[in-house]
Amino acid sequence: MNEPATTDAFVHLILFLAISLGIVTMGVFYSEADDAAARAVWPKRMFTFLVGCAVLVVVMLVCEHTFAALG
Amino acid sequence: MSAATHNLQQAGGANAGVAAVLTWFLPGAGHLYLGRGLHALVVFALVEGLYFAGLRLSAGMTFEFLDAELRTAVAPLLSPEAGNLGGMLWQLKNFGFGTGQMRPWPEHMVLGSALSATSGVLNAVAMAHAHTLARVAAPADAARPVLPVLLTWVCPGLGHLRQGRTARGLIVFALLVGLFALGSVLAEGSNLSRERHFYYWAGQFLLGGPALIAEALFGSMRVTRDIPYVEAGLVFGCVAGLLNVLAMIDVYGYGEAKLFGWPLKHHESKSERAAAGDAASPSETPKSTDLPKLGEISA
Repeated sequence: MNEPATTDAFVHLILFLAISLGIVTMGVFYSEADDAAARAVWPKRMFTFLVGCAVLVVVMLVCEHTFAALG
Repeated sequence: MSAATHNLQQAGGANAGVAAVLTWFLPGAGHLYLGRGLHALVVFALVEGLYFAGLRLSAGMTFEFLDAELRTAVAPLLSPEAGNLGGMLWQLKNFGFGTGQMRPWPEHMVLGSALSATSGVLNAVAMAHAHTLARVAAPADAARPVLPVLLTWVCPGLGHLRQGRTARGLIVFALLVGLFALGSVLAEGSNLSRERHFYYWAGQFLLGGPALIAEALFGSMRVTRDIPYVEAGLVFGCVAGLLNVLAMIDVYGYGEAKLFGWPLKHHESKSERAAAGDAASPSETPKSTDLPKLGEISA
């Protein structure tokens, strides 16, 4: 199946957001037994997770362009 | 003596960690060590009965699902059977990875393999029960934090509902079953086969009931073409199962805190720590660092 690159990237972004929602929410439930405390920290944890993943993406892209392209 | 300390007194000086480890090696041994003969018998019969029913149905061929290059002594440790370590080692010793010759799978291979895996999960629950049993004054209390763990494996969120945490239970169910369903759609059902994806299946199996039902209904689908998002589907199914372990730890921790009168688990932020440091009087909410340590209590 040949999908346009933009559509494929969009699908991957949606899938990433879906799994991020699960990981962050369960992580918050794990660390906060009280529902009100979990609700309070969720936005910050989600933001931190997304920013952390974005930084990782940038690092991987830099590595790919710097090293993998040499061959 | 505080209420928490009183509740942590161990039965006859027995060590909770030893009880759990004994159960890992031989189901029921931890309960026997604690002097609970009937519990030991029930745990042994249930866990080993399931394992050996699974072995019989699968003719001990479960680990032959592994690709030849993965067949090492430690490879099965990442399968659910590792929860019943004694059973798994017995299987490895007597059946190993087969004769190396190609042969057809037994008729009830999938069911047999699932039963052995279920035995591993049940023994992990039995380990939690033995660990709790060693610390409670009344043996009947030991089931209070452990039953929700089992229910969470049967259906994600059910343990939370049992504890009266309805909103959290519904969110857990929607998130985890939703992730698993999305993964199964993306992988077009190819994730529902232990033969095809041994390790992804192992993670997914921790989701419990929904994964087992889906496999029973759609596990025999044939793959006849390339599946564009199969990797994403496998990851989603596996991550859903692994996240259910967090849900099981959550319900156990909540039940344990209620049982022993401990404060609920709470992660302090930097600002909270700073505020607590500035305050002249102790915070109203007890912190996790206030928890009595098992070693301190038993010493």
